Amino acid sequence: MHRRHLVLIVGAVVTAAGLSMLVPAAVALGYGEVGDALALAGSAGISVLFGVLAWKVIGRTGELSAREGFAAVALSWFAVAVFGSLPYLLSGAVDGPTNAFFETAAGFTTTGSSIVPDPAALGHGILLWRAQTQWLGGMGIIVLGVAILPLLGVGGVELARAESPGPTPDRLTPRFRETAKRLWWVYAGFTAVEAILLSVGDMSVFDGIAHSFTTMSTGGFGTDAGSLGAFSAYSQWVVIAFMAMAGVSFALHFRGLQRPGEYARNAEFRVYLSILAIASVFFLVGTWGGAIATTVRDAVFTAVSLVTTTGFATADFGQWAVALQIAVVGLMFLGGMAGSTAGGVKTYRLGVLMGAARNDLRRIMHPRGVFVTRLGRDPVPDSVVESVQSFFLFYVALFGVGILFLGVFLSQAGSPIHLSTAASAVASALGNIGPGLGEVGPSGNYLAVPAAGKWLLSVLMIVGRLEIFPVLLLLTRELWRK
Amino acid sequence: MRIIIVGAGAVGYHLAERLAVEGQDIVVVEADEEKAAELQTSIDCLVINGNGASRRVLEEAGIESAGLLIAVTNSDAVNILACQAAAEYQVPRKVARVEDETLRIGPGINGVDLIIDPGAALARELLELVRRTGVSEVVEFADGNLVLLGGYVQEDAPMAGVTLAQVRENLTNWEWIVAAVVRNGETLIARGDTEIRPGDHVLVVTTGDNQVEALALMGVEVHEPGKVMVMGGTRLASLTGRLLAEEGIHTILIDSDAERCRRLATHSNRLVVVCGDPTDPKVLEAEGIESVDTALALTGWDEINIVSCLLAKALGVEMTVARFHRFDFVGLLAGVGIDAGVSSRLAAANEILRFVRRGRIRSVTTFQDTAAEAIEMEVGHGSAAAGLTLREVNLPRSAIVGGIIRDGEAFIPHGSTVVEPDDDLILITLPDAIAAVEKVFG
Repeated sequence: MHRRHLVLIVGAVVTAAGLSMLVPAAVALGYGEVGDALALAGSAGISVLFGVLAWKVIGRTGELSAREGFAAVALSWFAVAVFGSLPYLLSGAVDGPTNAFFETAAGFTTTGSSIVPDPAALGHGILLWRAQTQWLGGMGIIVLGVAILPLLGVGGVELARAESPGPTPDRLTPRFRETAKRLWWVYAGFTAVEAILLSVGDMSVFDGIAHSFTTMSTGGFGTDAGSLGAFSAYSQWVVIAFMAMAGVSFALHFRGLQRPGEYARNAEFRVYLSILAIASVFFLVGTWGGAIATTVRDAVFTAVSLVTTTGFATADFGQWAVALQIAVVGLMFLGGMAGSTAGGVKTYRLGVLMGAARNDLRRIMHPRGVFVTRLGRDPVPDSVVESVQSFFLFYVALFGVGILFLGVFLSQAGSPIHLSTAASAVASALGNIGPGLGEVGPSGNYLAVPAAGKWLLSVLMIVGRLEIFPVLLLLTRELWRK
Repeated sequence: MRIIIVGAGAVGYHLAERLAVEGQDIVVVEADEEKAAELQTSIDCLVINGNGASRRVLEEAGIESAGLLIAVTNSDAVNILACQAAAEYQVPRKVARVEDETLRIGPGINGVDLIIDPGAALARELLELVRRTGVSEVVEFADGNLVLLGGYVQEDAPMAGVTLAQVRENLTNWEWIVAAVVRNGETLIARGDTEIRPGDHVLVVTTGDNQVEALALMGVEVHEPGKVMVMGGTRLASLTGRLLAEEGIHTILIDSDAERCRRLATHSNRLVVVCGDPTDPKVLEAEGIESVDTALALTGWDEINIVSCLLAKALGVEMTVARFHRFDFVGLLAGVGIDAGVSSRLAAANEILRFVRRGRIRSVTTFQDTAAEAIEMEVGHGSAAAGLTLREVNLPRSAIVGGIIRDGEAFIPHGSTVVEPDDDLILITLPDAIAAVEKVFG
């Protein structure tokens, strides 16, 4: 274990995050919010100071092994969540370190659960920083680092592997650095197109940019307490389309933009689309009644928002029938495609799990049969099947343990929050969705959750975003052995 | 014509033998010294020991005057290189055996006129065989208006134990002609006095509408297969299994090698791959052998194939097919617990002969257990046979006209049918008669 190699990575990532705070600082200055501008610039200064110290003074360059890469990524994410909370604290936009850390973790992990009752009351600079954390976290701060910083070098693949959603990142080019660049270009391109389309409608340019940041990253932070419900039908449909696109693998987007046939050929993509369609129809049938246009839009919006783990809302599904609420929590587990910005279990893993389960059934009929798990026509190696199965086990176990602990914290604090609400909050944090049911539903927020509960949910968000293993690795004794 | 055959494996050997009987000048190039020596003593051809892709060796084989080069070694690379070398010597026709499917993608391979894949060709033949359980051969002519059917005569068949002349007397309401009878590995071109025995493999030509009656004559009932078992994990087994599974036929492939099973299971989704010994009754019973319609034994060992077939038959499988390397087995063992024997060299020969016989001969079909071929040829204007009845035409005894296509209409001829120029004849003939047939009708 080369601890100094880890420190170098963490330092570089914190420095980069600090530098990125200068953009919202400039915006705040532009809107005449001098206090926020100073807070953001000060946060940038502190972050860069600590970052450079760790990077240049303590850190040492060197090749990283796979496990060191995993550990470096996990540590970087915790570090970024700490330094990223400085603007909230220094500007006074958020009360206390617990709330600030929660808000930042919900940002970088693209969860989008908030403790801010009314985002419209925040200054533009802080709002932009809030949206920007999601945008940076969506495609991955490490992947971005690999793309723009040559220093991550060969070990960059290992780092990106730890951060990318899905079992293995797709290689588009022989050199991984080029792949990372292309993914970021596609990501940035989609974001720009959405920002333009939203600004043309009833959103201001600022709202358009902020929402496109949080749509493409499947984050779900809004600029208004009413989330997307505060905007026109046009804006809602644009967001539906871009949420759906953000749930698709960006490597597939890169290929599909050159040869559209690639989309139809991809088995995972077909499964993903069917999930979106089935969930939409389910909600549509369940909420039928009233104006057709609104019912259809709300049903499709909610389904796409949940499956892609974005967490925007136009309707308060906390008020829906019980069966629909159960479906809402169920959908929180699915997630988008591997290699997308979405959270959750991911379509790829679901497909693999179903395939493996089906093979177990076939094995009963043919005791000596040899069956290979497939996704569509493509065979999935056994090692991947096993890692998917253990991922799912950990995921479900964390869900259970999370509810248990949250329940304990809630009852200790004498909170009136119901168990079903706690369950939805844990599923929502782990899957990086955002809102849950009840008090933490689309029309509420997480402010009332006791401090211990907020820390628990924040950690679950990071664990969910990094897909469990990197964080779990930090807890193994073997990693820290010299 | 001088024909150079590169590679004296199963396919090359068989082709050399077959083409030599027809009176062609055969030169075989073989890298293995022992094989080369063995070939020299058994077939009337020139054998050269060396690398078939090398120019010096090809020159020694007389490449400058060759009319055809057939490269059938088991290396795709050598086969393609040999064809490309032949192209430089202006050899008009070049055939290469290429097994890697990815090499076939695109506009073809430079310098190769015909690409053959004996394994794939045999897999396709097996598919046809399996599709109609009980039928050993099906060849269609003239858009299916004439059909050549092969089958094994059953004990209680109407034609068993009588001569063809007697059958003919009793059956006059529909058109049919028995072209050839294969018995104990020998092929007899049918005559009126030929007596049919149970277990004979009979080739019948009939019109498209009378297929069912023709098969009933042999006591064969045709039905769609529900479940097929493929024994073995060879390339042929894998190709056949995949082809069957993709056709929607429930197919189970059994092989004893765990690693190979894994690979096969990875290749095909619908094919059920089972790891176990195909000669172990317990394994077969566990996979429901009693409900299997057809068992194909396609391992690399003749002995295992024979045992698996016998075992499958004993466990209630209706039709069993074995793949044989030893060519003699194909004819000898078919019908004795094994309903049909197949060999990939024959499938390869089929493709190549069709290519070699261009000109008056339109198409060629060979059969698995007999040297006879069915050929479709056009009667020339200057033909000695034009204007004569079939009885008057001086046809060798080892050839028979099974059908005539005239102005788009197909019919079964009689002895009194007059041959006209531009007629398309369907002939069933043994290789030694091919030259004579071409002379009579050409």
